Amino acid sequence: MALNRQIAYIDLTTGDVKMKPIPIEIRKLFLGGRGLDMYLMYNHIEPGIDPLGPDNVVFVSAGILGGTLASASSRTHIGGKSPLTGFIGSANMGGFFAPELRWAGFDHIVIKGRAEKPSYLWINNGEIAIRDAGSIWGQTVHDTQQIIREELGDRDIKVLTIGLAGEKLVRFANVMTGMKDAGGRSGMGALLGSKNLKAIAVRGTMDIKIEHPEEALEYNRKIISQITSAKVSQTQGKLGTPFIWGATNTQGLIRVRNFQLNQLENADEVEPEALEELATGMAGCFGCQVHCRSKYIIPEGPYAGVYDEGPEYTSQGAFAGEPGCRSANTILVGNHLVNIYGLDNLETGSMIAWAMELYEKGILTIKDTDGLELRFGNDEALIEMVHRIAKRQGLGDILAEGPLRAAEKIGKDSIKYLIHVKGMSNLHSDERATPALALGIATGSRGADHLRSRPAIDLYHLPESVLRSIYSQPVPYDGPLSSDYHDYEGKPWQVRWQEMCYEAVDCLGICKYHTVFLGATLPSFEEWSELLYYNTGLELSPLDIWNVADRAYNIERLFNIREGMTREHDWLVDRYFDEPTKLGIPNIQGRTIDRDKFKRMIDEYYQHHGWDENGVPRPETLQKLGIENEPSHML
Amino acid sequence: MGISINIHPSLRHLTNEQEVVQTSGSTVGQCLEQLVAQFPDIKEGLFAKDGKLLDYVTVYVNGESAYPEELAKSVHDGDELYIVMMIAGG
Repeated sequence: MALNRQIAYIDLTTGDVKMKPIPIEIRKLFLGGRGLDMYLMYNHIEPGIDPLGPDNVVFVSAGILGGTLASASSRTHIGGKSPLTGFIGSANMGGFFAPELRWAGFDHIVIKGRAEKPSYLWINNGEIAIRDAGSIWGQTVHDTQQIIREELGDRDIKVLTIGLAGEKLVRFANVMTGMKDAGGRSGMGALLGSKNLKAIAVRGTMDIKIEHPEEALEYNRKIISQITSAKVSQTQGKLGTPFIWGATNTQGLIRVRNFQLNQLENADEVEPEALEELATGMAGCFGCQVHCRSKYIIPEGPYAGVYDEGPEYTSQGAFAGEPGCRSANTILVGNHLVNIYGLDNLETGSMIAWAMELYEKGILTIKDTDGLELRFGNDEALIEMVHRIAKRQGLGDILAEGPLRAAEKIGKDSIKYLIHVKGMSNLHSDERATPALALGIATGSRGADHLRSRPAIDLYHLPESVLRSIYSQPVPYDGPLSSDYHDYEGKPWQVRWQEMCYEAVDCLGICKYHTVFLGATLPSFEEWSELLYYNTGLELSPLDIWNVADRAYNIERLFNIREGMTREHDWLVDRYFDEPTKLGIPNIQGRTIDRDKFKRMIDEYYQHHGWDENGVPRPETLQKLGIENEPSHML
Repeated sequence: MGISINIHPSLRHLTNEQEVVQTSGSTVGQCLEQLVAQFPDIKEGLFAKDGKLLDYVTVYVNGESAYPEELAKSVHDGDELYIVMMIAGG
C-alpha cells in the first residue's frame, strides 16, 4: 500500500543504516514530505548546532502521494538547519526523484554525521549502501548523474546531487535532480557538501498499491480536466514560468538594479515571447499535464550549442532584472551555469546585483573585484561572477557566504543595500506596491520567499465573490477581502491561507502549479482530501489537511524561535518603506509600504495563527494542534 | 441595463480612472470591443496582435472564468465582467 514506505536513518560517520516503518498515527499528524520532515528536524537537530558541522541532519523525502495516480505527485523535499540563515532550511523540487524513492521503498531519508571521504548513497529496492564518490567529486550536476548511471549500469536511476558549489560550501548551493530540478533555497547543497555527501542515487521497482484504483483514476481525470482547462496552465505550457516575469515587468513589479528600480525597460529580448523563440520544446515532471519546463540550446558565445532546460522566471530575475542586463543569451548561459554548479539562481543573482550596486557606489573597488568592471548591465562581469562564486575565488568567496556574512566582511555601508529577510535574499519581484505580497515575503518561514506564502492571485483583480469562495474554506472566514492589490485590509488572512495551501501540497508531494497559486480554479483542500483517500485510504477531511499544514507550520516556527528568531525577523529592509517606486504603470509608481499599516498587518497575521504579539505560538494553539509536547521523539 | 466591465487596476489609467465601464453585447468579445471603442488605448493592454486576449489576460463573467470560450462566451444584460490579469508577482 501507499503507506508502507519506510523511513531510513543513515549515519555517515559510522556507516550504520536503520529502517523503520512510519506509524499511521504520525502519518495522520504530518502526512509526509515537508510536514513530516519538519517534525523530524525539530526532533533530531539539537539547538544551536553549526549548520555545516557533523551535528546537522539532512532530511530527504517524498510526499505521501508521491508516485501515485495523483497528478504532478513529483515533488521531493529536502530539509536541515540552513547554512545560509541558521533557521529552517527547506527546499522543494520537481522531476522524477521522489516517485523513484517511493518505488525503492522509502518515503523519508534521515542523514546524520559526516563521511570520512566523498561518498554517495545508493538506494535500490529496499537496500541502502554508502559508496565511494571519488569518481564524481568535482563533477558537474549533469555529469555526476550520468557517471553514476554508467557506474551502476542502469540508465533509469534517478540522482539527487550537488555540484561544485555544494562541495565548496557555498552557503546558497542547491541540490539538483535531472537537468534543472532544483531544491534551490536555503543552502541545502552546502549541507550535503559539509557531510562529504555528493549524491543520492535511487532505483525502485516496488509497486505502490493504490487503495481505490478505479476511483483514483476517475477522480484524477476530473483533476486533469480542472488543470488543463485553466488558462494559466495553457499559458505556462506555452511560455513556461517566464510568462509571469513578463506580465509582472509590464506593470513595474520587478526588482531591477538590486532594488533601485522596479521595471526593466527596453526588455524585448528577455520577454517570454523572445525566450519562447529560442526554446526547442517543453517538458514536464512526473505525472504533470502542464509541461512548463522549456528546453533550449544556447545560441551564441562560448557556450553555443550547449543543451539545458529552463530558464524559469527566477533566472530572468537573476540574470536580467536584478543585474540590469538585457540579453536572452546571458539568461540562458547564467541558467546553465547555476544548473551545472548547483547554485540557487535567486541568491546568486541577488548577491551579484548587490555587489554591482556596491561597486557603483564605490564601496567595492576594482581592486576588490580583481579587475572586473562589476557594473549593472555588464553581462560578462555577471557571468564571470557566477564562476567565481561557485569556485569561491576572490570576491566570489565573500559573496558565497550569503548576504549577512558577506556584508559583515565587506563592511562600510554595504548592509544598507542588502535586500533580504532573515538573511536570505529576496526574489526578483518588487512588492512595494503590493502589501499582501510584501507581508508574505517578510513572514516566510525560511526567509524571503514566494513559494511559502505568496498570495499571487491577489494581483489578478478577481471578483470578491471568487476570493470569498477560495479563502473561506476549509476554515470559515468572514473578515474583509479586497480585489485591490494596493489594500492592506484582509491580506493577512490571504497570506495565512496560502501558507497552509503550500504547506499542505508540500506534505502531499504535489506541485504548487496544480493549486491555488497561479490559478483561482485549480485544486484545493477539497480535492486533496479526495485524492488522499482514493490513493492511500487515509480519510482526512479538508479541515484535517489544513490542520496538518498548520501543525507543520507551527513546528517550523518553533524551530526558528529555538534558533533565536524574534518578531524583528519578520520585517523588510528600509528601502521598502523609504524609497518609492519610480517606474511602471501609473498606479504602481510612487509606492512604498506604510510602516504603521505593515506593523498592524503583522499583528493581524500573528492573531490569525494563534501566536502572541512576538510571534510565539500560544500554548493553546499548540495544544489544539496536539504538538504541545514537541519534541516528542516518536520517530 | 447593459453589461458592466470591472477594469483591472493596472488598466485604469487607460479608462480615465473609471473602475467600471458600461457596455453592451451578446458575447465577451463584443463587450470588449465596445470598451476599446470608448477607450482605444486599452486595446494594447488586452489583445495580442492576432486579436486574441493576451496570454496573461482573461475575463470572469459573474464570478466564473470565461476560459476557454473567452471572447466567444455569451453574456446577457446585467452580467458583470471582470478583467483579470495573471501578473502573479514574479
